[in-house]
Amino acid sequence: MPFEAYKIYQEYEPDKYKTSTQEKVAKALAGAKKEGLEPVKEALDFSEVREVFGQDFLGVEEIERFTGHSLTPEEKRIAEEKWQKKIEEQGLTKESLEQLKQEGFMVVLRVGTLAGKEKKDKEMPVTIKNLRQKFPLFYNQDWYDNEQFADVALSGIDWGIVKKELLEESKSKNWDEQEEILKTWAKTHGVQEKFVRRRTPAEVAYDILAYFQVHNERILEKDWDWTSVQSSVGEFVFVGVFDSDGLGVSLDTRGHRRSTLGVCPAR
Amino acid sequence: MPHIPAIPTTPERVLREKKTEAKEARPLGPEEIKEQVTELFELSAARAEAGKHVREAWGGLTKAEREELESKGENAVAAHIESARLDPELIEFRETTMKEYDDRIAELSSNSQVLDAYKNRFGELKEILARVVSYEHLRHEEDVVIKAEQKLRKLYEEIGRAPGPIERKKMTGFSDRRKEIEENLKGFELDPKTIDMLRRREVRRMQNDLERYSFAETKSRQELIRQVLPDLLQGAPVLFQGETGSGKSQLAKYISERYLGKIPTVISVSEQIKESQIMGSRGLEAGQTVFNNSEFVKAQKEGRPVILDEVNLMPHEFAGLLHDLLQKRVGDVWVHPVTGEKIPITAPIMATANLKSERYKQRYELDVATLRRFIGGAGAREIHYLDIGKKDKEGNPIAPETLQILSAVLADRHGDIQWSEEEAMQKVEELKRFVQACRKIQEDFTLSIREGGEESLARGDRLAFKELVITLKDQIEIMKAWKASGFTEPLDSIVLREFFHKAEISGRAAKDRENMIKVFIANKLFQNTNPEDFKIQGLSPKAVRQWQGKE
Repeated sequence: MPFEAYKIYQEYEPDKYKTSTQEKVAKALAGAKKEGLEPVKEALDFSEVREVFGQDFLGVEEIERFTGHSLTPEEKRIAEEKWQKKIEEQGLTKESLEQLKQEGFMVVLRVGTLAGKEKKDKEMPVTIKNLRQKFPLFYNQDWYDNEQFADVALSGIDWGIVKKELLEESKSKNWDEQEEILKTWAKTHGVQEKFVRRRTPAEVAYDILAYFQVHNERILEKDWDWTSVQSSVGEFVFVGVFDSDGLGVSLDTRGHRRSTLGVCPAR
Repeated sequence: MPHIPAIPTTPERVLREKKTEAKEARPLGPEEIKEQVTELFELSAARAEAGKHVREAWGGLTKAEREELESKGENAVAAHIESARLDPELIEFRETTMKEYDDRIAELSSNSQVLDAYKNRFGELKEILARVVSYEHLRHEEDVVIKAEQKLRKLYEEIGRAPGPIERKKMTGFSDRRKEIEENLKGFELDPKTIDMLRRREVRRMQNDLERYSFAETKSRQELIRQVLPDLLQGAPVLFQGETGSGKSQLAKYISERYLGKIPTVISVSEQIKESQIMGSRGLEAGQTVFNNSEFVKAQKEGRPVILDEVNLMPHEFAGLLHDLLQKRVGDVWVHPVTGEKIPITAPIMATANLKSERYKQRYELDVATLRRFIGGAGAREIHYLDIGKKDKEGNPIAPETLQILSAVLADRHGDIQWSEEEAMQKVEELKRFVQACRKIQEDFTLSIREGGEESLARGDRLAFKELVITLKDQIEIMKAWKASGFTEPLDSIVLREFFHKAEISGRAAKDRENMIKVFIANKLFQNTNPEDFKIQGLSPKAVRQWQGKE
């Protein structure tokens, strides 16, 4: 008997086709869940997360207001799926989220599309430059106009669980020392190192501006979040100091230390 | 359910051609019948391919045409073979093979018990096919409705106007139909046999696409096409940027032929490109000065998409010539700057650009003004090697899309790979390790190109690849060779022959090849290969033996 070629890759698409029996089982499980009979631990839904984080939860409605882009049902479905994936992968529970809230974290939905400045303008990807074009809240700088990182877009819909201000112990440390601090942070919080990371410049700008647009409150007003991205001259980019002069973008070599330069752990 | 016509089965047709029919014969046990029916299915399936080979050997003549030719006598046949430069030995081989197929099919199906059992199984398959076709039809319609909705919405966005009452009604109609289809799909009963056929047809479609367009539409590529297509249909330009061999040009050609229905004009851009190659040039014809349009302008006039390959190499002063054109959309008119001719726009400009290392950036970068025009069109999209960065739940790297394409290459037209049940597991394992190694090479190559410096690469377990990478196309060629060997040779000897021995390069590329060997060995290929067999200049036998764990 020859071997069916599709068997080589079908394990990666478990939901593509389901037999009637599999569908029936899925329906029955969904029905049981509705009746409160589900045996497995119930996933945390958005209302619970919103309850835990209060105003530090920027979900679908908040982000629609911020970006001006209405999420399609498909995008909402993806957002839900991504959230479930995140809590499963990182083993997040209501208790661990409560602890993160206490430590000054927020939950933010990131989407890849931004409505144009005017209603007639086309939607655009979320990049530093497009954020600057839509929101006149940036410090007046042009050094990054021709930098590649300023054109790199957010990769699409995903959730960020991110500390609103710098991790205190990461201040006055160089870039590599901060890397070690992130690893230690992961260990003490019982999360795998690979899930704790720095943000990209576009992510930092997006999170700060989203928070400001929704709550009219500034985060990272005095400090810089050092990102994972290098500029064309090889120095690492940082974003922050969002005071009345506007959101700044700057850079420094990895070996330097500053008292206002640290890292906001992101998961 | 769609109607599947009642055509005679292959054994029935063979029996009819041989002017014989099935008869009562020695009664067979159920096991014997099952075995013979299975053989009959295999022979019938292979016969179709053998028939195609006979036609090819005869230079494309159909059976009726061959019979007509033969009826004219031996001289006419000899003249045809001579004029079409056919190989008589090949013709004989193909014909006798075909005859042997027919003889065995006739022998098996002459037993009425076997033929009846065959026809019953064939009938079952026809029913499954009907279900599969209905399901695919619904899926296809869903896709068409979604695209139509997107296209209309885009149209109103472009013109910045709100749809009127009739248009709104049409749009609601699309949305209602989509919901109806979704409901129908939910209620569709899929059993394992139907799923098996759906999967096999997927493999077949991929084979057809690879054959016709040298491109396979996997999930991620499909998603990308879905994103850019509405804009392209409005004539907006698109830029695909990516590493060498990531499939940018093939993708542009595929979209053009498959979705825009036009053969594109491909212009390879170089630093030496001249203005005349973009706009055209003056020349003399019968003593008169005439203006000869370039291929680029001709394509615009004929409504064919243009693919500017490696547009990043275009000198900035020439890129300016394109700016006006890049802002035009379907329905606009472009005025040729030299002749003043008015050319209505009906097709988009597609461009590709290689992502270069930091070192080459200044020289080979698209100027901001041109880039902005692409971003304002269907976008400046990055195309990377398939599956880069994909991981399973445990964080292990996976390559589902590459495996899907390579499976289609390895399979026959029925979606089967000629591996026995006993060897299949080991072969799948071997294939996955090979794909894993290729992915690692592609990832390190991408990183080498992006970051350039070896310092950052050395921080992880990364290797620097400066010039060579193993692309999807290379992997496909290796799979073809493996399949052609009847899977008798181990995969690593095929890799050695088809990849490493085909281009023996010295210098910096030799270091890349050495690194490749290291990656393959780490993925448990080449465990027993002699270091000399790699034929790589400067490769230390001691190092190879160390990688192999032998020293």
